[in-house]
Amino acid sequence: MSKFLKRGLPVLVIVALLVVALLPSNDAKPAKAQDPVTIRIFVGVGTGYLPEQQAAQVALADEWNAAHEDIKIEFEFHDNETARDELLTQVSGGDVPAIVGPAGVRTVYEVSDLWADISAYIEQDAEELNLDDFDAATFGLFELSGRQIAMPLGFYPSFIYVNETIFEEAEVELPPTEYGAWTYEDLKATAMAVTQDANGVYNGEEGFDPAAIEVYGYYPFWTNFRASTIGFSPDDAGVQIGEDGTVTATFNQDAFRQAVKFFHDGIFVDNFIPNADAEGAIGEGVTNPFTSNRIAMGRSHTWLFGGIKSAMDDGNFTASWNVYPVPVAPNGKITAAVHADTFAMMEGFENKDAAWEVLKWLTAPEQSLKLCQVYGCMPARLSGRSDWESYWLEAFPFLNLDVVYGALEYLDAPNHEGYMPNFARAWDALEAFWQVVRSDPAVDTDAGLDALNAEVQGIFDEAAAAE
Amino acid sequence: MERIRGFISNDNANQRNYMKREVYKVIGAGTLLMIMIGIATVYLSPLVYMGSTALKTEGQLSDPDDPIVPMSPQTYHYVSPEVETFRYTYRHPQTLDYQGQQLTVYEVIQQGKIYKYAFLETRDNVSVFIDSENPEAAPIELEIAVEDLKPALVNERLEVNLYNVAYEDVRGQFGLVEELEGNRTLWMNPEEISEPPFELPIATSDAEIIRLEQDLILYEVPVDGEIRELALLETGRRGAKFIDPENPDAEPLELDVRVRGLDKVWDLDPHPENFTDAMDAIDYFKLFGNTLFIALVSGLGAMVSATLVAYGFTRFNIPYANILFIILLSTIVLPPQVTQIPTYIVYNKLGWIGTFFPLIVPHFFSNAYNVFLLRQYMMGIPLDMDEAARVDGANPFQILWYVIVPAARPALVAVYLFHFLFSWNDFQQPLIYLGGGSENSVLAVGLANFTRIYSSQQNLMMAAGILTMLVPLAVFFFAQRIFMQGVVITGVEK
Amino acid sequence: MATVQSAPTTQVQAPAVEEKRIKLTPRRAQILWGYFFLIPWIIGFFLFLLGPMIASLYLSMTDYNIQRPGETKFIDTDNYEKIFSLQVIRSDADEVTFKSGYTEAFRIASLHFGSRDHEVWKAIQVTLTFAVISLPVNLGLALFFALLTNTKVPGVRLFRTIYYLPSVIPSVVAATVFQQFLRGQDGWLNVYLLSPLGLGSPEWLQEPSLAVPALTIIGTWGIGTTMLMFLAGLQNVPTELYEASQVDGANYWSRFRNVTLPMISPVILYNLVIGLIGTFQYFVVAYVLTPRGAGGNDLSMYFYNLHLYREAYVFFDMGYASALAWILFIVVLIVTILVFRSSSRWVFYAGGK
Repeated sequence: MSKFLKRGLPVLVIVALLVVALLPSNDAKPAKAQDPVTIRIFVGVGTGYLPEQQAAQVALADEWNAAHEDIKIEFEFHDNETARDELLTQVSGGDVPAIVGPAGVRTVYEVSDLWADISAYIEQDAEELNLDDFDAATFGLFELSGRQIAMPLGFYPSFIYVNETIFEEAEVELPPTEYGAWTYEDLKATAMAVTQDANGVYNGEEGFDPAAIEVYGYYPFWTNFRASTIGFSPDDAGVQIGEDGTVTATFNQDAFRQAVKFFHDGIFVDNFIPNADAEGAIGEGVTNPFTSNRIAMGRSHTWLFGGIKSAMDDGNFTASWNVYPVPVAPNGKITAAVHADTFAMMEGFENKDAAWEVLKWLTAPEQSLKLCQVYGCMPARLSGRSDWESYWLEAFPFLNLDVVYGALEYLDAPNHEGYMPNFARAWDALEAFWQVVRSDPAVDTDAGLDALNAEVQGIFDEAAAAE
Repeated sequence: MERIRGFISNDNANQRNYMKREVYKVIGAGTLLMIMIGIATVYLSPLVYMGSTALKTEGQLSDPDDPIVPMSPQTYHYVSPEVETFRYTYRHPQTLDYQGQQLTVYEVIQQGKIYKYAFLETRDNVSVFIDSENPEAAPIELEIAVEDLKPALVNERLEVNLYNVAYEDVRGQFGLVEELEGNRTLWMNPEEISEPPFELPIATSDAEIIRLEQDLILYEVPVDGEIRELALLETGRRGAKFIDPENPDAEPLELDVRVRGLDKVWDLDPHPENFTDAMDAIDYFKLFGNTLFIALVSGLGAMVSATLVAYGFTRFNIPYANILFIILLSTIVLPPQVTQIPTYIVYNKLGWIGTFFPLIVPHFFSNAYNVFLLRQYMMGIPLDMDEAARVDGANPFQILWYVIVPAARPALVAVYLFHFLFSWNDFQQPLIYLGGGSENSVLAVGLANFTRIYSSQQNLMMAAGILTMLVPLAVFFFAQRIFMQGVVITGVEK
Repeated sequence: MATVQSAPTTQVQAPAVEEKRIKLTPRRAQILWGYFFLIPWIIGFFLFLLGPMIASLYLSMTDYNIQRPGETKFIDTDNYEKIFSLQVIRSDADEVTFKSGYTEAFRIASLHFGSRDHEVWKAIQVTLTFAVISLPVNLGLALFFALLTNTKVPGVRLFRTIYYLPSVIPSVVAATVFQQFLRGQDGWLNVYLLSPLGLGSPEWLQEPSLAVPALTIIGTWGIGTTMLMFLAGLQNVPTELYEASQVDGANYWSRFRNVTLPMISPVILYNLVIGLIGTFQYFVVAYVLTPRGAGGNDLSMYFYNLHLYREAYVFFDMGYASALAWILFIVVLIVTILVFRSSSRWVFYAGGK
């Protein structure tokens, strides 16, 4: 027996050594106590993870780190597809990043409990921040029941992107360039006129094959329920918050009914909007579906600029294009959905003072402009706007800036990604319905919306009950 | 010889049977081969898709008619009689005509809005402005120095004809903005659209107008019953205009055809540079090294530890072995999604986050997949062999080394191979435990970074995918020799 | 059966005699040695695995929310009650009203079943359907491929590599490839195979009734590993057994049944158990192929693990997700134990047992 053990001992020792040898790295950490505070910035829940964006952000970090001894910035990049899970794992695992961003309105509200309230900091440094400089429309985007949970960095107004070459070939008049000059009915008529099948037959002509459409009149860019329907100018974004804090779902109001019917019929009756399967076909191989030459019109945000620019630089997209105003909703109002990006501080991070210093610096005029140029957003700081403008005019000398700035008059407030109680579940219910609208030709959209509204109300009530 | 004799004596029934068997053998092998080739075609199709996609440009991929093989439509370079034009937005400082005075307009930022105020004068350190949108209103006094303000700009959308201009040292392609009196002209530089136009003392006729040059796509167009290759000049709703490349100066042919229904004239046009682009984009060699290191080292750990544990389970008749084995199996039954966070906490406590340790060390402590596999094999090795060794005085280590390991060699190779391949393609664990930062990452994570929110550059993604697969495929191709070669069991070579 | 069974039994006979001699050596040493070899696993189990498992078990009895870890309360078995909550209402008229918090989960004839989590029932249905269809298909096909490539056809190494090839395609890439393959409008499957045969252009990933078939088809591309296991198993069949049966005049089928199958039964057991665990944890493909990972139209690709993942990471309800996980754990473990129990009747080990 002892002979056996003697021979077995070396293995035991090796295993033990292995364990011991690997453990000391544990103790290495506390030893770094006198080291500078590292402000880890978690990138990926929004934009910011593309290679050229990464480079620009790292350059910013280098700039800061060269000038500061006590606080160091470290950008950490994650792929957008998986970033949320990684962030949640880190936070729950006790490894909390200091700052998360750039993050959109939806991300901010979806995990609204994770963010620190920065209103005290803003008040304290109001003068240094020059609050006047922030576009008045942007600050409210990140305010949640009295808490300011983020500083606006930049935002993305939306318009209708139009492939003018397709119009020219179809001999169809281009949409008007003035806000208020066309309606969703006009958009539908125009879109149908330019929709064309694989044999070159136009929608409405004899022999048109709806199963083999090659050019679609209208493309709902990466659509979701709230983003797609907000253009029909509902009175609120589907959520009414009463004085006493009660939340009412209003997703069955007329504007939503009209919007849902418009998209459903556009796919299955009027054949000018692609269904989910066709969207996949259009997206094949293109960084950005608009550059596929298979879309005549589509509403999207300024973030499309970057993709179009690279497709043009590579020679893959040679069509002539421009931006046009969003149409007037049936109720006579105009709404151009807006997205916004921000950096937010995490509640769970200990050294908030240091994080605030970095946050303040990132949203300063010079840095925010640099970041906005790589993200594609319009700077929330007004002083950066004309530089932003020159940057894009350089890339697209023909760009209709009147439409771009015109959209600022019609931004959606409350925002279509704005607060809902039990956000993730409510959002998911909306999306599940949206999926049905876009895949089931036989769905009764009105009855569906009533049922949806009741379901969402139930989700809101559940949150209220849990409070 | 026998065979020949069989041919001669045809009446021999045995020989006929022999022939029959031979024929069946050949037919059998042939059928087998056909079946295998058929299946191989199906199983290769994803790779064919990957390969062809990896060799295409985004433009080729997005063409709805693109053939499987990477091809581009043939083009014809056409110099049209038309003039090349340039559309642009000209931004220049805004001025306000105020009571006969030309005032410069500035952007004044107040309370989150930009106001366009024309500067009138400075009175006792106070600047006086006129609201450009409402000049009738009373002047506005602000304590702002004009020097700190940015001038407001007017956007003018213009379209100009382009010319080749050569005047003294001013040379280049410029757009003609205006013809002035007295043989003078006003020009703009398309490279610098924000600069004000400049004047040259030349007439328009002194500059050379630039003709529009286009690469027209060639189509196979049916004309009067025959198919001709024509270059598409202009598409209309009901017809199209074509240029005949053989006779470019003739009037364009107006034909009553739908362009989208026509076939293009294709040319082979692969783009192998996607592979190098993909390699650059994901820092391929660095990640390759990381991945290889992790896969090799953890594979070793997995194989060694699984061998020991499986040996312990199968050869020693220990009490509660079955219960222990079920516990071992149960560790892979619980969905990893719910253990991810607690596991992260464990590694974080150990200080292993951001290092390779979580991807390597746990494998030195065996896992259920490998132990189970080896258990199944070791139980198939007859006990009489280790008994014989035991009789010869071998200790359990010697038995393991001299009896079990040689007998279970294919299974050991399999474990190493599978672990290597698993580790090579493992995505979730490196993603969570290595943290962000590309230089510390592995191929699977680097590759996934191609899949992006609003876009996916599938050509690069497929190229990177193929590059990632090369090693496991090569390893597999060569390892199967060891894996498949005759295994010595019970002393009989197969 | 009987003719060939004789061959292996002669093999086992010898160890049966030796068995006695093992007992001659001190039993305690034997046991200690056995446990000694288990040490790596035991250390690893306590170091890396046990803690997280216990943690998730504990969490399954709390309302742990990833967003609000500070507010976690112990809620006893409420999460488990939520999974199994069922309310039955017989309805012959149209109006069906459930208790508050309950929504209709499924319907059997005129019986309406309501549940606090109606999606879990759909997920169970999808997962079971898929397991019943996909697992036998994959095991059968893998065995078939293994038999095919265990022959001496020219180029067999290449064929083996080709059949194995789809399993090494990184999962992110594979998902994209199959998304393109199965697309209705211009997917290769429809364009190059089905529509030339006049079978139309089904939208594989959109049409709910095609969801499980589509995923099964995708799954067959990934059987390389299973095939290899079988191949390795086939290598272990001593040729003398075949020769013996050939002498007996057995045909291919009876050789397969009486020699091959019993000899590779340990591998079948392995593949069955691992396949079972894998199928019940099926996740990645369904997650990637459906928009938002939400299970597709009519929840036709809504797998149990997808539901679990969404509860944990989309809705942050890690407590409930842990309960879901433990239910799955218990079910799969019971099935696994049953399979092992039954295995003594059909799995044959040359090394005895």
